[in-house]
Amino acid sequence: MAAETKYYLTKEGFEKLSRELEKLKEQKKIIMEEEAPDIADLHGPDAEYLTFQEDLGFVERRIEEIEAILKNCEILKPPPKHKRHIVHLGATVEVEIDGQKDEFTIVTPIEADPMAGRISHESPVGKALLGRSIGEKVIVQSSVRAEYKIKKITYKTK
Amino acid sequence: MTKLIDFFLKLCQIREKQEKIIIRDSEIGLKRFADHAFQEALFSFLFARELGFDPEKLIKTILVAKIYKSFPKEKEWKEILSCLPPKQKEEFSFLKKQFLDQRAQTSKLAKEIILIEKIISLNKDQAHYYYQENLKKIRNKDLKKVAKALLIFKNSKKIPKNNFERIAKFLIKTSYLETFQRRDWVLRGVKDPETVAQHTFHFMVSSWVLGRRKGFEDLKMILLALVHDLCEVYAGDKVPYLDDSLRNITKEMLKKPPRVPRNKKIEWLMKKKQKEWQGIKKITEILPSNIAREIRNLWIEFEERLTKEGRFVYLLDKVENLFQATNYWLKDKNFPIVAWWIHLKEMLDDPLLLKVIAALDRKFQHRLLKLNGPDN
Repeated sequence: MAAETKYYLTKEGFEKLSRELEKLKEQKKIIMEEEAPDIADLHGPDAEYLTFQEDLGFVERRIEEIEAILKNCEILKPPPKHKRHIVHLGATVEVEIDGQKDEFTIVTPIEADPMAGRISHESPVGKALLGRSIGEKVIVQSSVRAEYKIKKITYKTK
Repeated sequence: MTKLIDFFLKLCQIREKQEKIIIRDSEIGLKRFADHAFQEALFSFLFARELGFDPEKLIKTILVAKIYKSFPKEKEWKEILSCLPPKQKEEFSFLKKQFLDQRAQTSKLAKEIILIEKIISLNKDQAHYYYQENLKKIRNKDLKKVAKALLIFKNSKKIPKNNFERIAKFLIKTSYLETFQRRDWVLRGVKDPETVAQHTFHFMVSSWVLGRRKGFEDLKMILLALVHDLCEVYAGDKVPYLDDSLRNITKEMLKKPPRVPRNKKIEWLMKKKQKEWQGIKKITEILPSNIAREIRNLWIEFEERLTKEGRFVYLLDKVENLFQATNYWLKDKNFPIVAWWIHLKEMLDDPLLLKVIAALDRKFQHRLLKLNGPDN
């Protein structure tokens, strides 16, 4: 039997998904009770009925997906104190790039939102930063060169 | 992969090709092929099921017809096909043949949609004349009703009475995206920059071609791309971390990816989400409720990356921008391409998309290396 996928989430990511799951369950209830078309409309594939099915199907699929993630997830804990100068999954890294400052939190793809500063550990920059420590210069390999100098690494401890 | 890169770069060339029609003995240069393709795909999506047609076949026929019309010479068309994987090459050939075949029902409908859609771009007098001239070619009764509704709602604030009129009004409102130039390019001084509609056309084709490689359903991919920027009719086009006034922007700022503190990123993102959500609600409220709901669901799926398909297409949108930026950079070596490359190294985590940009990197490696300056 194939092993189930293990998901690593930050505490905030876990809470966010739990809230979404609650809302989706409420939404499913509303769709079932209030938005169901009249029985008379259900005869034949009319457009309203097909969309109703799609909505419910979508909500149900998302519920299944989130339940699977939450069932098989592990909440990221900060590393022991003596290892907190190194970038691990869940770290917030302050960097200097070409004279400009920026800050990234390294997360798994399901939590990634680069526009909000959460980058995936599978992105070239995320990968390059993992395992590196304060003061190191990290170069992301490609024809266009980009150098990230690690200024600070922090972990949420609560 | 190298061949696919050539295909995507060729798609950028379609943007420059224009459709022409004859009205009262004079030739009118109409919109670009890519702008038309966006509106016709939207038209097909809204009507296919109402008319008993398969939306997937209809939209694909329209997209392939536009690519073929942009590269009609046999040699050009063969070059396009040679860039595609074998199964998609066969599909493109089949759809092109079907489009040219008068007996195929889907093609007939596609051709009628292509005819009618032009009414949106013509001025009121031209549209009336064009409609009268082409009325005989439109066999489908429902499409005739839509054509009439399009004429009614041109330059009119009348309230739509039935579903055909609602859809016609929606199509006229969304046609704004055919003239709405994308802010990223305007800010960087690109001459004749890409419109939102042109971007959507490229994006539909690349989502279809690359989504297939991921094992996703073609129609789902195309529709996610089709609806993703509809909110911009009301919400406008947002440039990362800049406020809507777009003031105090220097050329230097545009050369690098924007770097702002995290709280500013989140504040900007929240405002953007709010404005775009209001935008998608407003543009769809005119539609019949079932279609409006379907569009909003697709839009949320993309915007919030709720599914693996949504996540993939969301990232592909960023890759699309790199292709367009590369197109501009190939024409103007001063175009600040570096910002897109660095940004994507932080954004992308999909293995296929990383392969795509690695292939693009290899293709232009020699030129890209020069951008690093003498110290590197």
